[in-house]
Amino acid sequence: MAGLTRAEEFVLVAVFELGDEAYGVSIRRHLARRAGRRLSLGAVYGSLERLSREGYLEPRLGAATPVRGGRRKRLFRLTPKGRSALNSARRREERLWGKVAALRNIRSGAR
Amino acid sequence: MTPMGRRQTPAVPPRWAERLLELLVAREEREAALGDFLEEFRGRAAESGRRAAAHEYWRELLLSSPHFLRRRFERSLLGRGMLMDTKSGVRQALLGLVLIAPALLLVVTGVLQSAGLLSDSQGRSLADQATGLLRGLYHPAVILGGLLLAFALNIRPLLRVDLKRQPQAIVGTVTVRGRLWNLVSVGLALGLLGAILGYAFVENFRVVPTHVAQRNVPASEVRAWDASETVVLRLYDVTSDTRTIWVLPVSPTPVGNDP
Repeated sequence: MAGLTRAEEFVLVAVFELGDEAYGVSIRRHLARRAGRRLSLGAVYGSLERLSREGYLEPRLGAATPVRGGRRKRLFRLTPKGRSALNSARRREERLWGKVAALRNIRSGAR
Repeated sequence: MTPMGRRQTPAVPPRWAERLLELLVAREEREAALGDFLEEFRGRAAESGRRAAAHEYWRELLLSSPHFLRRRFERSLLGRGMLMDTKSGVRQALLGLVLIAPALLLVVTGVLQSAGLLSDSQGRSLADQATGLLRGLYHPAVILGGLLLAFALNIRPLLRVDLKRQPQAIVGTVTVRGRLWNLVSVGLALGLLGAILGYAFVENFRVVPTHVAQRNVPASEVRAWDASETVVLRLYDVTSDTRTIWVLPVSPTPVGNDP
């Protein structure tokens, strides 16, 4: 997972959670809703582009919709490398937050 | 449908903003990006009205444009070349450019003087007024040594030569890497070396008439000798306080004593 920024980790999580509907707009909305991070579309594209180039994501073109003026979406899905990176990130986060949870228990006297 | 039963036309984003977006986005990403922007615009227009949506469209475009410009640059030939540079390669190239700097200054000053964009006295004063360490930078050994060192430093990341011994022959493979910074450094070093050596060759092999006289004059008087228009050749050695000049024997007065 080394070399990925925090924003890229968030994008990986969003792509995983959105499944077959992961594209620029939906990823941005997901990040705003779930992580409270309001990124520009350009910033989302930047992360998506880098993750695709590094082999974490696989882009493909979706169907055209009227709300998009007949333009197709660029959909993304996780590759095995992306899944593995996501797993590593999750394990690292758990290790990190596990310590913090223990500290909170001490302070609240629960331990 | 509206209450009147007419079909409501979908909101259209600001025309100029959409054009600008089309221009900024690389062709491969254009369809998806325009679609994303339009989808966001229409969603916002339905919630807050077209005016707020148009404002947001422009804002989004401005915030996203650095990304689009960077992507376009990365996809260009120049960008691809730069992206292949490694950190150590760039460091070597920058060091090379520092080594090249004195030669570059010398040549640029000379070219500007020849083109009449810099007076002879202005150009010469750069070197003449230099003292101490700065004067040392104009020493031929520093200038030529710097160029050769810059070339040697930057040719290695740029070229790789592999020699393989075969039963009947030795096979050599030359690999040229697309590292733009090193290429610029090598190109500048070679170009300046060529210019300086070429100039020195032309000057040294210039036919000097036998009747001219060689004189050693203080550097401060060279300008006056130049003004007398009797100087045939001037040896431009800025590391010394005296200059060697060759003058026509008929030179009447050296120091600008025009009637």
